[in-house]
Amino acid sequence: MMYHRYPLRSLIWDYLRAGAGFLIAAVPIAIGDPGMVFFVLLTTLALLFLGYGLRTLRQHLTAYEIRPDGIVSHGPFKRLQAWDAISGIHLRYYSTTRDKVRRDLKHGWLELKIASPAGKLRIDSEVQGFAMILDAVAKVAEERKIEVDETTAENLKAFRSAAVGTAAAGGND
Amino acid sequence: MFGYAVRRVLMMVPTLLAISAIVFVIIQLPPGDYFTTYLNELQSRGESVDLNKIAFLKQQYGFDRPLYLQYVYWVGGLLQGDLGYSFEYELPVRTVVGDRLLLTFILSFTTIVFTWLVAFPIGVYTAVRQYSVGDYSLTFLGFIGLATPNFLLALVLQYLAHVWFGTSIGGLMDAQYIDQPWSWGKTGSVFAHIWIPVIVIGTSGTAGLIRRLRANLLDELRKQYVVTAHAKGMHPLKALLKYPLRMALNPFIADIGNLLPQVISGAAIVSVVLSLPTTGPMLLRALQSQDMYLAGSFLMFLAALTVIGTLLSDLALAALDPRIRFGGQAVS
Repeated sequence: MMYHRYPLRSLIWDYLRAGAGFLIAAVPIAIGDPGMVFFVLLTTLALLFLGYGLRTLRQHLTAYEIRPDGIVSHGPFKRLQAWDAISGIHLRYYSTTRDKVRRDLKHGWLELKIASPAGKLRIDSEVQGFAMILDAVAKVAEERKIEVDETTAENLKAFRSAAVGTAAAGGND
Repeated sequence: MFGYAVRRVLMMVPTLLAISAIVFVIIQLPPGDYFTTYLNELQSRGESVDLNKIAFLKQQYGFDRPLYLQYVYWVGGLLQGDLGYSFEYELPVRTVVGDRLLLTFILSFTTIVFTWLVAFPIGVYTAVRQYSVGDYSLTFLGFIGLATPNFLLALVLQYLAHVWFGTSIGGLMDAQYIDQPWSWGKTGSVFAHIWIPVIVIGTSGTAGLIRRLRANLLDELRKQYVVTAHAKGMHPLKALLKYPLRMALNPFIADIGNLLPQVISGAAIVSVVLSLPTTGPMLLRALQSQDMYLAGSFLMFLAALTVIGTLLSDLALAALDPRIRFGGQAVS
């Protein structure tokens, strides 16, 4: 039985981001008397960062398991995304560097969205063993002839070639 | 996408902090301060000056504090919506600025919408009908727009609007609505006047965008996948809209961040010529008189707009084309 979790190192950064953002937005509201416009703006930002913190907490408590019948997310919102119910997969790449050009993918991350009639399961590439999860999902999509969009196909191809490059250079996933 | 949006929003914080420090240093760079300038003006007019009063005012507004403390108080105030105090107008900056920030925003936003509405169809048409009479004519018109100085176009349009439509010269509204609360009449008056500055400021940007969209779309239309789509009998409109146009739009969207400051800095000169109640003329006056909090608030507003523009363009790009790129090219 193998569980894939988000490593604490990446979660700590996300917690710090959420905390810093929340403090920057909430402190002026708490100590001062901002006008209506600033109050709405700062409250929106505070809620945004609070949401990010909760999302990080959920990732912290979640573990994914690949099983013969599907992929299970254990945690606060436990669910099984059965292979035979998958209706679509989307693989998106995000990077906060301006040009999004990084061969090693260290400055960006992929978001895998697995859709089924029961709902969507989102997994970030920061999770341990992401390549394994992606391979399993892509294999199912191929077998079940699920049509993927151009962006997903290109990202899949690029991720695999980057993974091959990393392995050839002596790195590991 | 949510994670990306949050990280990008958080990145705005150090950017804006760095900009605020630079703005503060720049407005402190000229020798002296507002009170020194004011003192010199009074003395040059031969008026008597109460030095004790000046010293008291300097102390009251914290000019005797070290620079870093003045900066901390200023930024702390900005975070709470307190834009500071205008020494020249002897009023809080928020009161002095009044509608100007809103009017500047309306003008800039309308100009960008105008630029896109005009540039977009023309750019697509000139690419699809390359070297046609329409392409040459529209390109010629675009170059005229690019080459005509804004202040000249402003004067000509003002004259024509007055002669043909009876629109009052200058300003963004009729005289009776100035400094009055917002009403339907005032809003209508703003929209009756706004088209002149929108055309004036938008024209030069429109020509640039037309050329860029045309070039990008031509590159895409020559790619093999488009040729294949045509060969397979795909409807020409679908073969245009499905991928080539989307790909050609990427640089267009990436430009939003640059568009906002360009529009606003271009608007400063036009605002002087057209007597527009926007931030430009007041910013110039505030910089001349070293009214530091007023100038600083305007500069921070412009900086915030630029940073927000960049954020919006990044979010739109991430939503439109979330692909890994190697060496600046999409993997194919």
